[in-house]
Amino acid sequence: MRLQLGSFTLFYLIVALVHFFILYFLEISLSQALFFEVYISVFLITLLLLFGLLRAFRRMSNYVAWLYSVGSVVKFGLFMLLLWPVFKADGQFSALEKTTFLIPYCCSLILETRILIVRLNKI
Amino acid sequence: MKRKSTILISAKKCVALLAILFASFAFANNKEDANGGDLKTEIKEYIAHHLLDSYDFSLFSYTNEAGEHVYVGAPLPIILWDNGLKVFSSSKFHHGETVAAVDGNYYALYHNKIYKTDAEGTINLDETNHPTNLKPLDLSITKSVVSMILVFALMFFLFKSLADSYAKNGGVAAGVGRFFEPIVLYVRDDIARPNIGEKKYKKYMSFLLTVFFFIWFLNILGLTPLGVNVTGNIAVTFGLALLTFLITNLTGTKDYWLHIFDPLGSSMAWYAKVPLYIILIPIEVLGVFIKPFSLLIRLYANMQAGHIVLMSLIGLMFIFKSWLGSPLSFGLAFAISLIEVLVALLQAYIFTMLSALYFGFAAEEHEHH
Repeated sequence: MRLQLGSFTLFYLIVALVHFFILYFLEISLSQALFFEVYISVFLITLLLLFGLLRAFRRMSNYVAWLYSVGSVVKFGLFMLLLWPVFKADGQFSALEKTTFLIPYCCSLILETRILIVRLNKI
Repeated sequence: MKRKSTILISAKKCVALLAILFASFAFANNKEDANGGDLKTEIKEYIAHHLLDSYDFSLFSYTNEAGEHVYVGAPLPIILWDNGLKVFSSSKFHHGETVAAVDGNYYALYHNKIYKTDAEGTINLDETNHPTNLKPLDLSITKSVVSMILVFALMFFLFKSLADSYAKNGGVAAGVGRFFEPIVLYVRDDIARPNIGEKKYKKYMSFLLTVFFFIWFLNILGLTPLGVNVTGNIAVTFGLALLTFLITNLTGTKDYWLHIFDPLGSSMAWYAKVPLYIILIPIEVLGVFIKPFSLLIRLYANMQAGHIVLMSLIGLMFIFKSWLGSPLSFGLAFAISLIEVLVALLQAYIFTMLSALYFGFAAEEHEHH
């Protein structure tokens, strides 16, 4: 479990750094892109979901994929609940904000799915 | 030579028949113009009304000598949640003609939906002609609910008597059970077993049998003059499809989920699968929802379309009002009714068959070496 959470954190950090440097070289302000708010909230919520899923793998191995699917829906709902007011604070959801949201969100989704596949193959 | 003249006579007969038919339709069209479009509108409204659920169990209505519209049927309980529970009889609405006063609140029927109004029953409409009045939470026992309770009771007593007859006669069905026993066996041997497999089919049998007979009986009930259209109600088919969806996904084995999240298996390295999975996994996940969605739409659309076609054909009798057009419409309506009896069974079969197929996907287990 620690290894999986660790590899997730490492991958997420690499993605965040690459994204950070791209924004830096394009001279786009991080606060304008809501970089830290998005990355921190996506990381925390994904970590929470992964922690719950990895615990569920031990007890309810038959339902993990179902829990993963429900968890993904809940996760998206949570993002909308937490981040939508932040994005819409200035009255618009710009392309830059969309990119800042989608990059960490998709990365975490891919990693979650990868962890699920590996675990399902091991059951 | 003789054969040629026979063909010629037959062709002449066909042309004459077609001429009479077209004349009849033309006559009907002329008559429609003379009557104005009111009859058509009335028929359309009648069909639309029949397709909807209602708050009373009306069997038929007629206009008496005094010119009053008389409804024959029974009122049903209205149950609303509007700052507390409000229970009253649907007879208070007088088929939408009056405002129901309950504990100082006023409710009116508008397009078969209950709205909170003032004492005069004012319905306020917005620019798009939608009511802006408050709509209380409606938990009423409607005509469809009564029909479902009836079917539930019928199924319970029917299959209880079948079970009792097995116990009494040493495993041999008696009475009406003799008719239903082969159908139960058909669902087991030709739907459940081949699709789910010998090992796991038993745990799905109760659902498959229930859903098969529930849909079949309700479809048949919809063809009676009682005028119920339960399986043509999208909320009912949604409920049935939701059950199939939940059972499929909650009983899914790891192989079922692997097929969704790792469809290519160990056929290639993981890094080669990533770009493919970006497309494949969303499609597979979408499929999980599309399967039950197709179930709900198929049943709803087929039953709704059947009712519309049948009632339109019956309506044509009143539009034609001619010695040829009306019997033709009646004949066609009768033929379609017979087809609808088959469709009623076919739709129940398709829903059960596809549910069993999805359960089969969920219960699938591969040998891992």
